[in-house]
Amino acid sequence: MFQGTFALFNRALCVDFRLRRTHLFRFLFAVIILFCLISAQLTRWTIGAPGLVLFAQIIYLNFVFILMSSISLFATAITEEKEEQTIGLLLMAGVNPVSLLLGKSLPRLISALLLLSIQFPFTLLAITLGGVTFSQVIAAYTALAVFLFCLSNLGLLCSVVCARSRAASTLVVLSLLSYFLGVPLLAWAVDAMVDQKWIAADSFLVNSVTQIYNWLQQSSVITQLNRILISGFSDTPWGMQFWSNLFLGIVLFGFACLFFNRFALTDVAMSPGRGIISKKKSKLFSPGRTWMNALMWKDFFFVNGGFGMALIKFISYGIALIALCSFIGYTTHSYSLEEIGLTLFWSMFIVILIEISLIAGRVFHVEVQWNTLVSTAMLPQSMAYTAYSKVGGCLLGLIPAFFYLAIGSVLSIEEIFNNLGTIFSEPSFWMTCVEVLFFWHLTAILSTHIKWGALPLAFILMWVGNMVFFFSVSLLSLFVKSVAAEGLIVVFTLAMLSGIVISHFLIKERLILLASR
Amino acid sequence: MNEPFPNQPVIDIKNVSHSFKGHRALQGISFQVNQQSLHGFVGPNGAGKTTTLKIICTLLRPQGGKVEVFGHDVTSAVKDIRKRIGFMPDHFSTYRQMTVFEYLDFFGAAYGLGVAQRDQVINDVLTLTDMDGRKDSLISGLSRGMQQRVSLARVLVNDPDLLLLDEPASGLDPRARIELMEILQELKRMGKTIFISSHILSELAELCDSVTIIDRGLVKYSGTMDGLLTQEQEHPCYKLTLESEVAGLADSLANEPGVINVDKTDRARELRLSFDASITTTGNLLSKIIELQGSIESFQRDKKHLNQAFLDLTEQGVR
Repeated sequence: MFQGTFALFNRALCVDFRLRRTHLFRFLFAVIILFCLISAQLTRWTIGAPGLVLFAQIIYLNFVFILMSSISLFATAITEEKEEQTIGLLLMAGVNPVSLLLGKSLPRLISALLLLSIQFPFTLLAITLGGVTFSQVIAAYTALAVFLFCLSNLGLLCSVVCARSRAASTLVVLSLLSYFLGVPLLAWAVDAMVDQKWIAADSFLVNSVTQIYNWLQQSSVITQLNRILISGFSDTPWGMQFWSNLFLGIVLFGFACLFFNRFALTDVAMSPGRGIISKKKSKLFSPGRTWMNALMWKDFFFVNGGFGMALIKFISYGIALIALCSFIGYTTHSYSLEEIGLTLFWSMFIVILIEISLIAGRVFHVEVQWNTLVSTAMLPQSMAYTAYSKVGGCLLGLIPAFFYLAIGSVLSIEEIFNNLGTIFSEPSFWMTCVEVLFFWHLTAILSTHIKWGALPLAFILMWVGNMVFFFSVSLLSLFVKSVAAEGLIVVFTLAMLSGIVISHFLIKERLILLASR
Repeated sequence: MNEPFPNQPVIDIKNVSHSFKGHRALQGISFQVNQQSLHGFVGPNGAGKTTTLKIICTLLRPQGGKVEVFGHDVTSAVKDIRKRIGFMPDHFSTYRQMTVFEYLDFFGAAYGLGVAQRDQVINDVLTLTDMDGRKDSLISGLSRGMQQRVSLARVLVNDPDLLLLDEPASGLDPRARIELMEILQELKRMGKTIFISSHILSELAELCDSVTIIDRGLVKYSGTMDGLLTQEQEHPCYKLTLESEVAGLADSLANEPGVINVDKTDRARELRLSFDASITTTGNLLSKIIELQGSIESFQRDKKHLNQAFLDLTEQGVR
């Protein structure tokens, strides 16, 4: 019965072994742990319980790694077969759905578990450094392993239900957001309503939300890890978090099996859809005639949804901002126009950051994914012009968010101007700006090299880079008194600026290469 | 159309070589393509056809040798060359979420044409490719043959002097293939130079004036189609189909001066005969057949020998 599983398992391990990037990733992981070890060793005289610091670093590194794996690795288990149109062939070869699901998800789960287990001996060094007990190490890895199992099955279910990897990854992100943020936000909103005396404190709704919130708190891996990382932890690792995550993982796998026949055999479109772009003559939803900058036109309409999508964003952001401001106004009782402006400004600032990150991951990837670069590259213009035009077209999609950002700026202009002087004089402000720019460029480069997951991978790399940087700064300031942190920030900022400039050339060369393939 | 360059080849390839990760895709190839000709570029899979095409259309820089298109070097005059050529790759490289009109309008604008000019050009190319009724169809909803026509229409939007077509007929059904070849003949009549690659020589035999045969990165033959047959076939071979079987005709023809061989095929009404062109002619043979009461249905050069010529020139084995 499980011959198919073993065949798929064998193939997955062989492919994994042959790929250079998997070894590079493991090497990078080992280097980070080694770096954490060195920093813990060097700071043992100045920081109390350096073992606990090392342990916490490694555990949170693993937590982020597991989150990113669920978005990129586990969420593509079945969708990659759908995109290659090989599911039908596998089923015809006698592989039953359960074997197929196991064969696709188990190798990824085992690779990730192996990565966790390999670190185990190194983590034991934290005990030697002091501040950590063996039971804490066991409890932390157990919590992470069972969380990994749960997320692998969440990814698998999303992969079964969704037609494409991108949709599956998005569904995983939404599920995680609702798990980690949705219920706490709901609980907070309910609390606020109780404070306002809109609903009774002992009503069914309040009781239910509180009950769910408490249950989620107990089953949350973050709560469990925070408990484990407190000095003197000696509880059993087989607590509520373990059993709930294990049970949820099994249930999710059951759902994946249940939905397989319903969703996995549907045909995957072999061309990108038009989204909301209409074929009929419509001022808002049809692309109309091509602009003189044809590439900008194409990306504005066919990657970003054109004027129709801009209108939808305009209305949605407006409604969301009105709701947010109303809620804050009602709960705080003193909500000035300036504060409303700041709310608008910061909300839209975050939206713009997210939107540009998504654009960075898509702008070149769509051309690579649908094999259309060769036609674009044959136009009598440079690849740089092509690339900048595409980016320009995508950035036009930001107009609704910028509109509200501008309103926010006008309403809180005094506050913003008062703070500008302080902010601009901070080297860390410039470093953050450059770092965000670098992140977008890194995402764009990665999107031309890998089939999926450029955004999470760029996020991991940036996170690791930041961690290494801040440790380096801390270490240097401890041992070399003459080195100012500001100086290092400037050096780091300049290095990233150079990286940004270089990335423009790298993207251009990469696109030329891809067009010629 | 731009001004022609008299006495100058449109494509001039001199000793070009190119490698990918240690594999020598092209090993010093040289050939020329004359203007307003339909030039076939034939070779087995992996021979280096697509690499050569990509170098000609400026997508790849040659690692050795020199390539000139309209007298411009492909490494330095990229924009000038791109304005005058149209390249159709061997895979669908269309924005399939667009309608046919949107797609052609996009490329028209990208080539710098104004709205009125674009309308005119799009109507012209749609008429030429017989796609008038499909203007508002989504490309993703079209058949493979229709999508190939859209690609061809796109290539024609900027009115190029040179068309570079990489295996345009692959994957098409016989009708779509014939229709595509008719469009190419029409384009040739319009004065375009067409460089078309294929791995099937017989497919291009009726269409092309000249041909280059490439195998394992080496040019095996470059010249006229007739030259290929003359070179490779010392004795031309023809297939004769009669309206009805004539007893003794094969033996009588075999005894004619200059006739080297007469074979009966599986069909009773068919004969395959080869002859020494220096001794007799097709005219003599046809007169003799009529004299022997043979009612001729068709008399044509045997394609099998064209394929044989290709096989003789190229090495065996799939790469």
